[in-house]
Amino acid sequence: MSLLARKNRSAPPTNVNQQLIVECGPTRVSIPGKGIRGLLKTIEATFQDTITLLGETYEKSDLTNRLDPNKTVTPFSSQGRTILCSNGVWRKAYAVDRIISLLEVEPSAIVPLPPQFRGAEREWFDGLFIFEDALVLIINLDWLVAPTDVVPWRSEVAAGHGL
Amino acid sequence: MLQSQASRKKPVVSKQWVTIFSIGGRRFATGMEEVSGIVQWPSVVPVPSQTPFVNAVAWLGKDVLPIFDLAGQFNLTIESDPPLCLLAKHEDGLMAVRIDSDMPTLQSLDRASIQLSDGADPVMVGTCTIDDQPIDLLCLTKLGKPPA
Repeated sequence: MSLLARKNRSAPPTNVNQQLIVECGPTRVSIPGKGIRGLLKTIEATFQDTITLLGETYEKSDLTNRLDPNKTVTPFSSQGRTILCSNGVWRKAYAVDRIISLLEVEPSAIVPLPPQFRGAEREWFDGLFIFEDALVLIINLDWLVAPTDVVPWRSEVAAGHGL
Repeated sequence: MLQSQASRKKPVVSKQWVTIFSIGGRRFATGMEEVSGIVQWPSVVPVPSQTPFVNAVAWLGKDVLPIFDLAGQFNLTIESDPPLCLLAKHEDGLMAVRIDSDMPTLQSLDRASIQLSDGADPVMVGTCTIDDQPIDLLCLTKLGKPPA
């Protein structure tokens, strides 16, 4: 059976985007399909700090730990997978607990994060959608792959007025 | 001597309806108009978050509601099962609050009996006395707003 499923098959998709739904601890999140460059078993890359695929190197990280520093993915799990991600500029590889599904989601099915969330999570997530009677958080691809030590770009700095 | 019309009028007592609910056995009051409804506790999804006491969402009908952890803010533990969900009319939209399984009640209060606090805390707006016990009066529309 194909991993790719389409939500709401009754109408032909107009402007769909693929989302890879994964499990990280108690949370289900999705990674935009346009940013996925590869997928491998985490157990096969356990003792590597980086993964190189087609001449491009991906720094390894733990998605559960990135979202909550007090948690990590389940180590040495046979279901654990590492996802190679890129936005065309930056690259990173993220270990997740489990792959749930690859899904096409219509933009109309996506709801924004409620405004009561006021912290950094507004940068982490692009919205939510419902899958199998549960909510899935869409990860912001640019945040996911950007180096964690990057200073946010500010126009006044670029113009020579800042600092 | 005949009393004048004005002196025969009953003194105007300003009343306010409040919703009384409990969390971990501790009772709270809030303006009736700040509560949209009480429903069964829905299934929730944790959301990694840096917003204090807002770290999950629930799906109710077509709405995705953020959940405010009022029990966490007051260091209370809800042990009654199943809990109820109070839908609070937050200024940014509806929010779900987990409360005890005891169904909240409505009560009419004399406004004069409400002791307002200094206003520094937008959520803990004062206290009122119900059944001879002081109860914190909360402003649910401001949940999550830090004290000034």
